[in-house]
Amino acid sequence: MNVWLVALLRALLILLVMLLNGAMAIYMLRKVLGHAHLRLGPTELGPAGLAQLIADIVKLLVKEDRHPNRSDRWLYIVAPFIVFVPSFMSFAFIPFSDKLVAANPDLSLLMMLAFLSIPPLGIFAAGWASRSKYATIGAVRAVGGMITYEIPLLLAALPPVMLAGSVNLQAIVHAQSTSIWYVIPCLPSFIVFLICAQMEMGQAPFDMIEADQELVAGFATEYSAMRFGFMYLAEFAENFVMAALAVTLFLGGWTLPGISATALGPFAVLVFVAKCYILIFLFMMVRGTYSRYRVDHYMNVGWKRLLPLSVVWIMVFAAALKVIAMLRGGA
Amino acid sequence: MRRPALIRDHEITAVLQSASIAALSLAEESCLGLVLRVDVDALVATLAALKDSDLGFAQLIDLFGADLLEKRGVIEVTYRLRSLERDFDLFVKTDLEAGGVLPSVTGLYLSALLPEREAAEMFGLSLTGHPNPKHLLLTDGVPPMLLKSVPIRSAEESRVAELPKDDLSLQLYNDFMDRGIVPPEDPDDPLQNYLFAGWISPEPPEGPLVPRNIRRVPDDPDALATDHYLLQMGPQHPSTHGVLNMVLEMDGETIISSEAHVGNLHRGIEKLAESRRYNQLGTLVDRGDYVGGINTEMAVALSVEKLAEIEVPQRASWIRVLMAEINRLASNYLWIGPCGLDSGAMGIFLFCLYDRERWQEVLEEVTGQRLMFNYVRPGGVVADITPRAVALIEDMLKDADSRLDEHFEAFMASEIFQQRTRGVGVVTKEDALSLGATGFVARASGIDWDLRRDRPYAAYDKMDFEVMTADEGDIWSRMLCRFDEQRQSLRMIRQCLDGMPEGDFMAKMPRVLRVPEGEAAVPVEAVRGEMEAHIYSDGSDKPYRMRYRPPTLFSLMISDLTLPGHFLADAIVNLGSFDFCFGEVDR
Amino acid sequence: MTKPAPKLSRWPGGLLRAARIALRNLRRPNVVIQYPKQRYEQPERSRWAVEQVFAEDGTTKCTACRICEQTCPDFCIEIDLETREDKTKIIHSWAYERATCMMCGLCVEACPFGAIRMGHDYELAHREPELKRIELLVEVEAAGPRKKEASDA
Repeated sequence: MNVWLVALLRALLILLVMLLNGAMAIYMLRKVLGHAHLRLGPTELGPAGLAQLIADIVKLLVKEDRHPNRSDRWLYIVAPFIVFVPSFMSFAFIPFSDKLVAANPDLSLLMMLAFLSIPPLGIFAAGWASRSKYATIGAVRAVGGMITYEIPLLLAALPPVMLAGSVNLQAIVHAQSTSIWYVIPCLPSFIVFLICAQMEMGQAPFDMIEADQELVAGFATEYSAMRFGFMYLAEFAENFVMAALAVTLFLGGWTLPGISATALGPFAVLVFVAKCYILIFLFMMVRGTYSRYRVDHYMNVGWKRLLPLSVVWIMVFAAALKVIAMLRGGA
Repeated sequence: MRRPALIRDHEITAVLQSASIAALSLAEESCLGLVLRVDVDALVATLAALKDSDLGFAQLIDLFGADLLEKRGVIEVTYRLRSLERDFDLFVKTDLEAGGVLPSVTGLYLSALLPEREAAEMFGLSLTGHPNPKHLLLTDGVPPMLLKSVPIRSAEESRVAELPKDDLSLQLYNDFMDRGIVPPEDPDDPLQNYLFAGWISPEPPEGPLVPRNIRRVPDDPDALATDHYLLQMGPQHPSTHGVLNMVLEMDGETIISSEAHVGNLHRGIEKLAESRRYNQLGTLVDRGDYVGGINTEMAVALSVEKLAEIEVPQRASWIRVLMAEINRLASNYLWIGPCGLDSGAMGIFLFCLYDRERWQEVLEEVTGQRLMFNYVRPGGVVADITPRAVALIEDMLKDADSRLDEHFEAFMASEIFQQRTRGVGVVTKEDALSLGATGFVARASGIDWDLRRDRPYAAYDKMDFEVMTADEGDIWSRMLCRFDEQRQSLRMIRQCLDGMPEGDFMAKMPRVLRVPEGEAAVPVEAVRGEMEAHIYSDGSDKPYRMRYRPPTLFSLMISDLTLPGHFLADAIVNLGSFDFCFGEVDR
Repeated sequence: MTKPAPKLSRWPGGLLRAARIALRNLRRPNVVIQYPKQRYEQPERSRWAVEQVFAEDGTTKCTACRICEQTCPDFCIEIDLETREDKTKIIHSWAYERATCMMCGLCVEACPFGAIRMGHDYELAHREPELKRIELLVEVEAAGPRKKEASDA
């Protein structure tokens, strides 16, 4: 078959998954937050409010796409795509099951993390191009935040790599299926990873870049219509990507303990998605419960807590691995 | 509690003599208390002498004018001083001719900052010595509204009336509608700069592309400099709690200075009150503090009763206390919740609203409406409490305390919130005194003062409750004090239900109440601090002048002066912690 | 009286306590009334738009004494009446500016004959501007003292 056709089909498939996930996550967010707050969430359109999202998308599509006066026109137009496209591309490396992964290069973990560090640049571009003070503050916060969480995030992803001996996500999953889920030996890394993921997604209590109450809507203050929709969608895509990454690195990916890959068969995808959504639920509950960090406290958490913690943990972990390997080798 | 000795007039005379000031008169007025009249030239010296004396007049509680041009040919300005140590209020009055010059006392009492501006614009006076003598509530070009010679216009009349040619706001509006965005003609003009702050000119700029309103600090081109910018917060910002417009000078995320611009909700309640009968006043003051209406209505009713010497039935007093405390509970819920929302916690807002709704049901059952109660009138209350209301209250009292604890845990116990509020927005005791803080703001700064306990009105002298104070004066202690206020309110509601006496709920009142000539002001511990309706009566069925003392106008000055040095995020939580109600600030 | 601050747990105890309450609330039932479908029961004293109260035989109780008109702080009641030679009155219109009314209830309190009451109709928003002013009585014979005596007898 034509290579390009296959690639195109795969890309379309990823887009479909991403959109479905966006729809699912938005509905879920509304319902989870609603019930956590003693209300119901959407109920009116469609069965149990399922069609609410369609109405919202239609609304976003027909709204006026306005540009602030004297904004940096081209940057303003392009910025949502700088946010959207990398989140979309990082879907390609998620191993949904043994076979179902759109792209499986050897360095898939690294590539995924590389793609995930592009959206903050788009956010900065969006805020800067809007030429609004609130948006600019949000944009500057995005860059500051990015440096804050990227390093602990990468350091937290290292222990599973050390254990599996590979930076290929599929290989990490396979390595976990033969031993144990890496959450058990790497629990501190897992916790650091979750906190950094929350920061990366820009969700409460770390929603510095949006911070409704302070910055109106932060970097997206001046955006409207589908450009705003793209950023919103990218946020939920990132939500899923971070959950998927956590599941793959620490929670055994699409495998279940004690069940072989062949026995799981097509249900592997369901197992994977279910694990992801459990994590997303966790994120959402945190989002609906706590107060927001102040921006200097946020930096403190990143630089003074998470970074030293992960560095020390990496050293301890690596030393322990070496010692165990030596003991095994000696025996 | 030991009642301190009252201040006698000879003590004040001694203070004045030692400063060699000649008072025009010093007399006890029946409904008001001790009134000192001084010449306007001696005003500042008098206040300075009183403040420095050992009588302890540390607080300027209120400052307002009254148009007595028809009666005595003067505009009278009243200063209400308070000595907390001696538990005494002194009224200092001075007379000015129309269009006279009011010497500013902001050097002595910072709390005069905003009320002086208001008094000046409302009575057509000019200020000397004021650091910022702009209009406070009215637009430039509007005549001094509280003068009797300025009529109230209907909407149609105002539309037809020709606006002054130099009305900047109209010009701006027309220009805006014609051309979209207009650049300020003179970027150095502070007024234009203020109006255009945050707007960006459509012309291509010269030099680097920077937003307007950037100030290089220090101005020296060789020095290591930073850029300060102006940030317009509000009136369409999601968390300024109404229509406040704060102009913040920012250095990055840090606030350098803050100035609050109010007046977007000004409806002239004080002016309208002059054309309403005494039993219609409730409808107006309800729209002042629109969340704590029962308390403000009570302030008016108490003043009128004092003037007209009406004996209120016991049961009416108890019902007033019961409803005022329920109202306080409901109002405080609408403060804790949004305060949580300001800090980013969404859940607590909805939990608090649920509890508030349940208390609102009681208020609606008894008064007939949820916000604009119009329930407390001179002479008593409009209607008795119903058995269903009692059942509703008892039902809620079952779990009210545990729900309060739950709210505390869900929100304030969280370390993130404590990090953000402890040691932030500190109001020291000296600042609180000098800025006229009352109510929970004063208590959180270590001023042990609660009008319900220290000057009991209605049936508060029969209630058993405690007043909590804290010493830190930060946001956290304000929240703690308010949480404790909730518990005390629940205690009082229980006592009211148990001890409610039988009897009438309304005294025998004439159909049209005429009040003898005089002045009266009964301060009331309203939800947000001290509220009083200072009523001048001329013997007719309508007040000659009604001054509504808005506690949050004074909190606004406190918030402005606490903000510098804090982060933008603190500004929001700090603003929320003072519980602003802009219906009340702007009136 | 100064009280010690409430006992606070150590990091991250407070966060866990908050999480526990959030999870508890997740299990609690919904407390919201789904407005257009469900409606809540209004208390008897609820004050909304003014209504006329009619006598048992369907005639008005209004004697056109105009007390309500004078009492209204918003001037939203306007009575157009004509007094005949025999002192009976005919009400040409009893107009009520519904959009201006603030539902304070003063007119109802003032009415000596109980001819008006505060209704319970709270859905008062209308698209048609003419509906903001409605005429509650049109061309009606005002209730006079004589008529009242007749009905008593």
